Amino acid sequence: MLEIKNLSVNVSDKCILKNFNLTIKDGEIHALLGINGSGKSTICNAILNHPEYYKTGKIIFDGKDITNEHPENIALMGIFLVSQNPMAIEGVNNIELIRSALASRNEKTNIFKLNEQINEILKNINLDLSFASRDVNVGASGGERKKNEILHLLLLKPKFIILDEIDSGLDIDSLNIIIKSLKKYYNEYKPSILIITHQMKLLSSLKPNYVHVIKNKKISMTGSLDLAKKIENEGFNETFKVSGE
Amino acid sequence: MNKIVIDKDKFLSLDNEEVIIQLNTDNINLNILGNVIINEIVTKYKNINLKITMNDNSSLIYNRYVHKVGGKLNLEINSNNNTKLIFNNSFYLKNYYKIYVYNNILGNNNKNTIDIKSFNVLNGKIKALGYVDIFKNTNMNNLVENFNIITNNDEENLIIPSIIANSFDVDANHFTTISSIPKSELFYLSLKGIKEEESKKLLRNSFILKNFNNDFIKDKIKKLLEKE
Ligand SMILES: Nc1ncnc2c1ncn2[C@@H]1O[C@H](COP(=O)(O)OP(=O)(O)OP(=O)(O)O)[C@@H](O)[C@H]1O
Ligand SMILES: [Mg+2]
Repeated sequence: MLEIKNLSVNVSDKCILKNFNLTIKDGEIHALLGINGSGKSTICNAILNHPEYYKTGKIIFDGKDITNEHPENIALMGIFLVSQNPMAIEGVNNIELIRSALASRNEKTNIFKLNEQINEILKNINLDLSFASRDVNVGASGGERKKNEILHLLLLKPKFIILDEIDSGLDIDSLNIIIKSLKKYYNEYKPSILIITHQMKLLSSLKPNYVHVIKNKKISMTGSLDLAKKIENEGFNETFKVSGE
Repeated sequence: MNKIVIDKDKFLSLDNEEVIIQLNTDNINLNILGNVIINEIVTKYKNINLKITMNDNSSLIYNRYVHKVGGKLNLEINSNNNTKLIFNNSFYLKNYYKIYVYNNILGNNNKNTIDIKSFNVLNGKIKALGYVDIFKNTNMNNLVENFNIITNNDEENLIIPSIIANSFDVDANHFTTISSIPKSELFYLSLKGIKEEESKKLLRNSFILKNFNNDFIKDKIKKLLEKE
């Protein structure tokens, strides 16, 4: 379970989130919506304790205070962030990264088995097999980068997944493929998921238990999938007007 | 691949071959003919004057890696006509290294690329001089110097580019970057649960190896770095 309590986040002296509260129980799927620049990516990075953020408040994961924990330890506890723009790292081989990531989880990897596993996933998500041995995301398109993150996710088996606009940069076929693998993973491992998106398609397929909207630096509205539909139809402004916020 | 150990000052001609070279002396003259590849791995403190003559229509890829040790390299390159030189030098430094490159362009249509990458830890620091002299009445020459340093200490590094062009028909460029390991890359790797120490090693190795596309020297360097 993840609990965010009264969290405020400042980045280079600018207050981006204030009194932000959110609780996500095991196996729950939550969606977070909000206009551009409202702080959605900020909360994702803040959960992973991005080194450039100044925070007050608390983030508790599985009973442990992770507010100021090292990002790698937060990842090792099982939180996996697919960032909005996964970065490219020249000279670091994708498979080398995967092996290091598995090694830090004390997982013994048989290189042949791992290769087989990787190839199978790459086939399933329709990503060229060469991605296994290429430098991480170097020369990869936006959509390919997202798929590569899904490859990492499926291999590292997190219990809490944060998807920051996983759909951006994906064509409709790729989006369907990603949704399918996420659903399969969800059914098998029942992770908690926090989805950030601007698209209804992903939400109607993953069926979040709750939909939240960030406004004024915090979650200002919470509802069900209907809230997302309403926003899709009427926009953020109208939705807030009607509710009298 | 031939291994050539040079113990006393000498003049050596290389013609259409790939060699591993070990320089145990102070003064060496290399005469390049045809297409040559030289691989050199330096693991001992040395003070070397190396003169390379690029004969007409020759090409040279010089892959050089300095592991931990300080020292000095005075490199003089004389390019005649229609030559191509790629000098890739990576350093993993724990001590002070001075590298002075004197690039004399004597004729026409030469293409020289000097790529120096240094990853400095402990007392590691570098002083690099890139001196280019383009002779009068020469044409169509192209020079690129790329000096990149990643520092992990408070030592001061010094890069001095100096290009003297006595001809207008030349394309000469110098680039320098000095920085620490990019925090954004460390954060990205930490998202995968990779420990900071390990991430730094991955980024160090990638930076040092970026300079080479020759598996032979890459494997040797990887083995040396594994122990660090
Ligand atoms: N490093 C930074 N320095 C200064 N301002 C920043 C920094 N990072 C984010 N911000 C600001 O914080 C605000 C929130 O940014 P964030 O990326 O969280 O928005 P978002 O909701 O994810 O938007 P989008 O829908 O466009 O992805 C923006 O105004 C942004 O400009
Ligand atoms: Mg964002």
